[in-house]
Amino acid sequence: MNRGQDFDRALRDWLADGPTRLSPRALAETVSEIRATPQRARIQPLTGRRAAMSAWLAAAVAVTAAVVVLFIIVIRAQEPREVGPSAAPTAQLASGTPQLATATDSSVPTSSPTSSAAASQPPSPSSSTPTPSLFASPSPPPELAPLDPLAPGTYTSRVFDPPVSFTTTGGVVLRGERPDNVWLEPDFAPDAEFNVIGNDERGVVDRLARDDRITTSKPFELIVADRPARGIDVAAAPDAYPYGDRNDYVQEAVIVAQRAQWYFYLHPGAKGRVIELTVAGTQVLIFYEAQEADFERFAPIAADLLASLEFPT
Amino acid sequence: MTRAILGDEAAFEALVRGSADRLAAIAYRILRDLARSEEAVQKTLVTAWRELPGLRDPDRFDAWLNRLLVNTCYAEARNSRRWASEVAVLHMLPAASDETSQVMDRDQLERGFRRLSVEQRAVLVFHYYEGLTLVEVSDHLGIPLGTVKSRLHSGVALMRAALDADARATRSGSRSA
Repeated sequence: MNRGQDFDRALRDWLADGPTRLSPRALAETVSEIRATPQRARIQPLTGRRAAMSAWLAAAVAVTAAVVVLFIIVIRAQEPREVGPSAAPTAQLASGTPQLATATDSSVPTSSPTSSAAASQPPSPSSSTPTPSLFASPSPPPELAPLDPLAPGTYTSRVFDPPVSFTTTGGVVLRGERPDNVWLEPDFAPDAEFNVIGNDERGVVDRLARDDRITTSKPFELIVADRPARGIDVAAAPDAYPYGDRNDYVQEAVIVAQRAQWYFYLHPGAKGRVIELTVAGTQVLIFYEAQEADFERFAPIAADLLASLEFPT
Repeated sequence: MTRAILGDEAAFEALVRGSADRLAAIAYRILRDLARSEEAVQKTLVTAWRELPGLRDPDRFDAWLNRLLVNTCYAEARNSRRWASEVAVLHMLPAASDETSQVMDRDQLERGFRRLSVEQRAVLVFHYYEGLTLVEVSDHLGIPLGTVKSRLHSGVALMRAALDADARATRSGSRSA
């Protein structure tokens, strides 16, 4: 048996090991929730007279639409033409628009995607230039990955509280959007990240400055989104503490921000910056980091994102 | 199935009881977390009930359910990206006996698997655990065959690399002990 077959067998055996049943409690909860959940209305096919009426109606709508389009074309043709540079190009959003962490309905596979104006959409591009198209494209495909980079433009997350805007010139992927976190990453380094975090701890910068497990700059003052802020540059040695997988809690790690259900920590071998400021009475933390090898390339992207931040009221 | 599509809760509950264990096993293997996998199964089945009238071909119920489950697992994994896991940090132990070696192999596989993206994990689970062919995986996950192959290839390569790195670290640890 060769090495590949050994690996396949080991993987099969390992995967076979583990729970194979849903617990009775979870099953009971599921059944109870199903009983409390209404089914979506079934779409009835139109038949007979109603179908005939529908066809007549469709024809009438088509004729009306054609007349309106013709009218607009005639009006446009009569307007004086301007000479000069053309309007700003309209960026098109990629079809693989990032899926939001909070969205649930979009996980339903459908054969015909529909446009959606649900509240839990990706940050919507603003009308300022550059002007990406509105999210009128079909909703994201059921497959959530890979996440395509955001088209250049200015985006506003209204899921994050308070709403936050940022501008990207490209190469940035939206990885998550929640009321307490907007998570961006460059498309060249999946370990690098730029986060805007709703935080409830004050004095994070000073706490980090006192932490002798990491190397830090002196805390400094800066302006972010026209507001006074405090920042600190941070770095952790590659062997500072164990490198945890994304969902592993590494007890020895230097925690940057933490709540009951989540935490951010400075990864070993990473460099970054932590900035705290107050927006409309809310403590906001900006935390970006990248592994040292990627940092030189990532730093200007993070600086541009930071400089573009706005908190529209 | 037809009764369930027409809104018969009892008929759907029978389908749930017939599918829940299989879904739980798959979700656990993708997410490697019991609580989150149960959450994913619950969400999947409730969504399935709500959306069932939209299922055009009842014969594809299992594939449709698998696809719902995988999409729910993707969302679960992303939502809880930074959630504190109950999994403790595993420490290297020198191989002392066959039994220890087997335990460590499992630990190494666990660590290697956790390094994979949830999309790669899904492909590996459906292929190696459920025993689906790559064409079937493509159908059940709703992704092109080429994407399945690429995720399988990169997933296996990443796991092998992680296992090799673990083996080197263990040898190094044994020498310095």
